[in-house]
Amino acid sequence: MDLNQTDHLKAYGITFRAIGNGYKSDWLLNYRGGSFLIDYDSKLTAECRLKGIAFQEVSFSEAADIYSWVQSDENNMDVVRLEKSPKIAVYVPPGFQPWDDAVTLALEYAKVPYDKIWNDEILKGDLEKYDWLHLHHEDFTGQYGKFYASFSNAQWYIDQQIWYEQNAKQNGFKKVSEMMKAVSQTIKNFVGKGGFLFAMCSATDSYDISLAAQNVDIAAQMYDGDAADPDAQNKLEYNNTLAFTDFKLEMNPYVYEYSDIDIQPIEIGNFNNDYFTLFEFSAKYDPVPTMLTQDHVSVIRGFMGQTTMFRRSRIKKSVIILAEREGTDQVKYIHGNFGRGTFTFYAGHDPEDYQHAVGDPPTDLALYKNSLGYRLILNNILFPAATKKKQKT
Amino acid sequence: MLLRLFIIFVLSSFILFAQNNSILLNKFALAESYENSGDLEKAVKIYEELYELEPNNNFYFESLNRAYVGLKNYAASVNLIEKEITRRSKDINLHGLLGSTYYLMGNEEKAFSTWDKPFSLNEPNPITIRVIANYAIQRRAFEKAIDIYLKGKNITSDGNIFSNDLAQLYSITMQYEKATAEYCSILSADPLQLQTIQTKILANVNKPNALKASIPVVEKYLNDDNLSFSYLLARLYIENKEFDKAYEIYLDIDKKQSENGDELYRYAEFLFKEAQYSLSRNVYRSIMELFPNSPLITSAKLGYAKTLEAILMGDFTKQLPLWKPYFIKHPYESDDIEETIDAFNEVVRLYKNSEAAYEAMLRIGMIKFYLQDNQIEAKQYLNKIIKETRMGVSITEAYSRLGEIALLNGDLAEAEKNYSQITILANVDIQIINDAKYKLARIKLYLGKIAQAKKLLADVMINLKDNNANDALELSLLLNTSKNDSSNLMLFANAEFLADQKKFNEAGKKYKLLANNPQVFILHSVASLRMAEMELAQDNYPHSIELFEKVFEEGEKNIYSDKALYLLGDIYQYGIGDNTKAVEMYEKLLIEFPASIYIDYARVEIIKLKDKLS
Repeated sequence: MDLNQTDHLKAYGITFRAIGNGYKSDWLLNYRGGSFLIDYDSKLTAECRLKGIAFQEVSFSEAADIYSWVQSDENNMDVVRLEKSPKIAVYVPPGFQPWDDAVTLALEYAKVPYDKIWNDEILKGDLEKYDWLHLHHEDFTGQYGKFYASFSNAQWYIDQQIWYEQNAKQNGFKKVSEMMKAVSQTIKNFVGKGGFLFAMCSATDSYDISLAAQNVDIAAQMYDGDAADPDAQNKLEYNNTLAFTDFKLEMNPYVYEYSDIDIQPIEIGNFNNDYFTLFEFSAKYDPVPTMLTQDHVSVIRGFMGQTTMFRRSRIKKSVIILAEREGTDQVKYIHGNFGRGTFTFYAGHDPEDYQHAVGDPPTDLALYKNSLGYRLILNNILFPAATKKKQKT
Repeated sequence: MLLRLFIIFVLSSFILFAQNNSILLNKFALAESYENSGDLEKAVKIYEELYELEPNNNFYFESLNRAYVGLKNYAASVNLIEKEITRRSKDINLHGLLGSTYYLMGNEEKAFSTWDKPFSLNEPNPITIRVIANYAIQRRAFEKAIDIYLKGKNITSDGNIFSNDLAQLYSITMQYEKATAEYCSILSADPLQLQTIQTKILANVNKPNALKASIPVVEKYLNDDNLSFSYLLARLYIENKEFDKAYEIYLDIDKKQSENGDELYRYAEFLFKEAQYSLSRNVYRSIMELFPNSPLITSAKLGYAKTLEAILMGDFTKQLPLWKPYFIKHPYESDDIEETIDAFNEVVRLYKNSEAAYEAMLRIGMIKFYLQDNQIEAKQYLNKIIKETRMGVSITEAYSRLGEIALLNGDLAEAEKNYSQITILANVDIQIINDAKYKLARIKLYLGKIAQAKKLLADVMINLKDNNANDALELSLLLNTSKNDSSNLMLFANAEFLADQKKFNEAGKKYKLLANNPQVFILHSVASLRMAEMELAQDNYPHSIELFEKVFEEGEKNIYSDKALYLLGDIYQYGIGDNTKAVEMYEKLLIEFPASIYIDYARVEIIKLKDKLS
């Protein structure tokens, strides 16, 4: 999975399906950009050829050499056995959305099976059926993405608000914001019981804000009909959140921002210099962060979103920083544990579309087969398949 | 003295009043700034003080209520409004506000009964209804707003006064059938509203189930006295891709209205743009039959001819073995040919000496050449264009087709003359010029003028985005690598010339001479492939398979090995119909040539065939 790989993204798909079909599969962390070693089968090689995925056949003795090399103490590498492909759910609203979801695009491209679920399913307890949940660009605060100033007259915004209101009513809530709080809490319970949560873009900070605001109304009148609590900021409960703390809410309903967790575009400076760097972890001692940061290059082009970068000062100390913008307080990619589960937050909207705007066409991943940014997304779907090993001490 | 005292008293009272007023205004401004900065507690204290001092001041009342609501102190808001209502019981806004507060409190029942109250207090009128409905809309209680408007509809003499409001509310709440009924009600009363109503209904059609819900409603309203419903329904049918039904409607409109086929003509043009050629042809034909005296008849005839040609060319192309690099073209037989030629001849007659007439002549010439293999008549039409005009698209096309005919007949001088003309015509697209230059380069090669051929190819290769650039590069490579072996190069040129003339058997023999000579490197590679292609062109599948396999077996020695495999897959798929074998060939291509330019094609074909096989 180094630069010789012709389609990194599909390689994840074929590995995911191979695990599902019972093939013995290993993830060779940090070996040639993080490669997969799967038991030989002519069906698999034919599929690789058909999908345009580069692969190399190795003999038994060559495989033994590779294992020995990877597991040697001299190298920051390790082998992780991939046992069971996780059952994936993607939190997607039904009907038309004027933006796309990078994870759905990646899963579709890599042909990784997943189910779409929404509030109704979450509230009736369907999360129990899944191992892995993805959230993207959704607003868990019930403020409709805070698009009011720019899009309140757009038909899609009007339709969306009506639709959410009806959805809240159907689920027994008077307000959308109340329903979203219940959804956030249910997702948190899912993580606590051992679920894997992966969120991108505004689903990261808006999700944590929603958890912090379980007992206070932060939505202005145009969002939920009544005024926000004037003392909302002081009533936030940071101990309820997963990743962020001490953030300051943006209470102006006309400002397209939830809080100071996210940086402002002006803080990026020259867009041409927007790159983030993956941290290097010890493969043998920190296999999970190592899995999440497997990539063929460690410096990656940045990309914006409603939530572009996390402010370091707003991240809880217990959270592991996986990627940052060097020399700044901007963090791109974080990971943490809650209860028996884990969460990973990845800021930005689309790794291959620097400024993905509302209404822009979806990215054609066939043109970005070796995308570094998309590869990070796919690391997240495979790491739950890894066998848990005892931590070396 | 008394007068002086009186003046002093009045003046001091005025000054005192003005001072007092100014103090109140300052306090009010202070309260507003507290409110704007989010400090509602302080704002409320001042508003309460001001309201206490001047209970009749509506600004103070509204501000205080707003601040109570902002603080979610709904009980205080209710008390305040009820107090006002005891003084101004018939003020409908107060009832609207009170209902809003109850709604915010979550007491929907009380809110609705409060909003209903003004109707029992006052004689209901459209203003009362609209004001109260607006309070409900502000709180996003859309169903209640609909209820209020429906109530209003029953008590006012104008049944349509709230139709627009209702239609919008029904659209918002996704009750499209009812929304369309309200819009139709407006259209019944005022047919001139068609454009507005149509725009509003069409704004919903992309929403799930909206179109299917709207059509039956409009169908019910269809009547002879109000054609606006016919126009609306036809438009909805088009949106729903029910083109036949739309046609019936437009036909009916034209019969009833203008009797000159206006609507049908517009519809036929629309169908042509949508590539609905058969229906477009029928519509043009209807205009010609039903409205022979229409001023649009000549335009309809041109449209008719073009749709006939589109259908004919579609059918003709479908039966060609386009998967083969070379193939024998047999005359195409179809009843539609004569009808199409007649239709174009009619255009020539109607539009004498116009661009349309020359285009029609070009189309006839192409049908004669490509479909009927009647070169003599084709040339007559094409030469007529060249003789009569010096401008337009038709003339470049005419030269190009004449060049093709000459080349097919082995007349290199004539072919060169025609292609050269294209390069000197004014206002010709660069791609067309490059195409002509590439053909000229090949002619120069056949004539043995290698230097001139290379110069022409260099011109084409300047723009690598041009479609001809790849072919030019390939030929240029061949000329450069074989420049020191002129006899074999000329042998290859002769073979190519014969292939262009579709003399595949003779060409095959010449290619064979080169194919059997492994010393001539690239010429050997190309000739081996061509030899197989010549057999394929003559439908000699077993032999062509044998030859293509030989090319493939040469492996890296032959730069066309991957192409040979891809063509083998195609022969099994399209020629022999053995899909399993075809998949095998395409898969072999994936295994042996992972960097081939045919890889993507092979993948698509494998997936397609595997679906078929499963």
